[in-house]
Amino acid sequence: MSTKTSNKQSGLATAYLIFYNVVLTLGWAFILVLTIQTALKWKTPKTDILTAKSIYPTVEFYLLVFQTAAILEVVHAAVGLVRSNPILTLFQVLSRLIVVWLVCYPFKDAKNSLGFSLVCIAWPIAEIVRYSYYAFNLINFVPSFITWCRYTFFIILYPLGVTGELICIYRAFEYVAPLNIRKQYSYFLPNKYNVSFDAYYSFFIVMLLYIPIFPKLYGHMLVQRKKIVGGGAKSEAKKTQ
Amino acid sequence: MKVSVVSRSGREVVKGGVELKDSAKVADLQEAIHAKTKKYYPARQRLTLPAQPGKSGKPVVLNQKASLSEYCEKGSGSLTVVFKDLGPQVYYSTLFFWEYVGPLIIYPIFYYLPVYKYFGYEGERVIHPVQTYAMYYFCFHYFKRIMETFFVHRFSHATSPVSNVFRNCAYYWTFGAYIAYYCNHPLYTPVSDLQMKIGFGIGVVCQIANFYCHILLRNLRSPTGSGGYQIPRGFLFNIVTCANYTTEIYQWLGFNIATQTVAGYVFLAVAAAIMTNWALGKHSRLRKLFDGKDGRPKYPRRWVILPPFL
Repeated sequence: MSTKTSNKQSGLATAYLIFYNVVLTLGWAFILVLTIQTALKWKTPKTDILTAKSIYPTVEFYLLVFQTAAILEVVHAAVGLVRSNPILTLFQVLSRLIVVWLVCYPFKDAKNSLGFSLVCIAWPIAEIVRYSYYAFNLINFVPSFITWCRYTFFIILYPLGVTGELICIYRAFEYVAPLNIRKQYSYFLPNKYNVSFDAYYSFFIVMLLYIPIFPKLYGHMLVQRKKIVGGGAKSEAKKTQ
Repeated sequence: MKVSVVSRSGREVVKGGVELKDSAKVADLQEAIHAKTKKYYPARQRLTLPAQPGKSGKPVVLNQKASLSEYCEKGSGSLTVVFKDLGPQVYYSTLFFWEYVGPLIIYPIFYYLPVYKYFGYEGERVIHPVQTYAMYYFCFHYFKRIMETFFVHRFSHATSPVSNVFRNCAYYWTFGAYIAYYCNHPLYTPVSDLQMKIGFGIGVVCQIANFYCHILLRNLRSPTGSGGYQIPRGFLFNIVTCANYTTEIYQWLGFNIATQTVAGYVFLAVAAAIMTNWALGKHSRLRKLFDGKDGRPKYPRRWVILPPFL
C-alpha cells in the first residue's frame, strides 16, 4: 500500500487523507496504551499473559472501530484517491477483519488466548508506524527515522502478528469442532441453492491460506526494505564510490 | 555493428558487447545474447532502448522481426540496448493445457468415486439425471478448450512466465473442485426439469457460438501468429468486441441455470470480472488504433463484452 497520491490531487483530498491517517495513528496509539496499561495491572503475570483475559474487554470497542475503519483504505484505492491496487488492499484488510469480527468477537477461546496478546502488541505498533509514515508522506516531510521504522519493524512484528492471528483462529477452530457447536455457526445442505458453510472447514482453509500468502508478503516487504532503507554496509559502500 | 547489452542498472550483461552484421535483425541479436550467456534464450529476453533523459513514458521495446539498423541513431554504427530477464518461460499451449486438464480430471472424480465418504456422508448416493448431464457438459467444455488450444488458437505471444502456471492452475483447479463438490453432492437439490433443459440449451448454443468465435479470431492472424491488431468482424463480432468472452460467460450462465449452485455463480462472477477487465483493455486499444484518422479505418460502435449492459 502506498499513499503516493495521483498527479491531479486536490487540496481537499490531501487534507482528508492527512486527517484519516492522523486519526488512525492516534486510534492505534490509544489501543497500544490501553494494552500496556492493562498488562501493567496484571497481578499474576504468567497466567494473565497466557490468557489475555483482561485485555479484550478493555480494547474491544477501539479495536473494532479502528480496524473496521481500514475498509476506507480499500475505498480510497478504488476511487483513485491513493495509487494502490484495491483488490490487494481488500485482501490485506479482509484477513484482519476476519480475525477481529469472525474469530475474536464471537469466540471467547480466541479472545482469551495468548494469540490475542500478541495481536494487541504487533498490530498497534505496526499501524502507528504505517499510518504516521503515510501522514508524513502527504506533507512531503518524512523523518528518516519513521521510514526506517516502517521498513524494519515488520521483520519482527509481521511474524509476531501472524503467529497471534493463527493462535486465535486455531482456538476458534478447536472450539467449533464438535458437531453440536458447529451447527450453530454453519449452514448445511440440502437447500434450494446448493450452498453450505461449515465454520470448522472455513477456519481450516483460512489458516491454510496463510502458508502461501505470508512468505509472499514478507518477501515483498524485504525487497522494499532493500530498495528504500538499503542493505546497511553495502549501500554505504556504494555511496562512497 | 557493435551492440552493447546492459541491464537496467547499467551493468554489462554481455561482456564486451556483441558484434553483428549491419543487416542483422533483432532476432539475430537475441540469438547472439543466448549464445554468449547460455541462460537467456530469446523468449526470456526483453530488449528496450535506453530511456532518453528528460523523456518520460514507456521505453521502446525492440520488435523481434525488425532490423537492428532501424533503432540506430543516424550515422552511428553502434547501439545500446537494455536487457531484462523475463524469467523462465513456458509455451502458452502448455500453460493452457495444465490449466484445463485439472478440472477435466477433478470433476469426474467427484462424480464417480466415493469421495463424500471422507466428508462424513455415508450410505447410498442417488444420482439425479441433471448431475450426469452436468458432468458430461463440464467435461466437454474443458475438452473443447484443450482441443482449441492445440488446433484453433493462434497466439500473438508464444510464451508466458512459469510462475503463471502455478497461479492459473490454482485458480482453475480450485474452482473446478469447488463446483464439482456441490454439483455431485449426495444432498444435492435439483431444479425443475424445464429449468434444467433451458439452462443446458442456452449453454450448448453458447458453446457452439464460442467455438465459431474462436475460428473467426484464428482467421485474423497468420499461421505464425503475426498480424497484430485487427478489427474482428463477422457473426457476433459485428455487435460485440469480445464476443468470445460473451459466449463463454453466457455458456457458464446456462450451466448454472441448470445446476443452480452458489459455487457455480461465484465462479461465473469472478470469471466475468476477469474477462471484463481484459475486454475493456482490448476495446480501448482497438478504438485507439483505429481512430479513423490518416486513412486508418474507424472502429465501429460496439458493445464491449456483455450486451445489453456493457
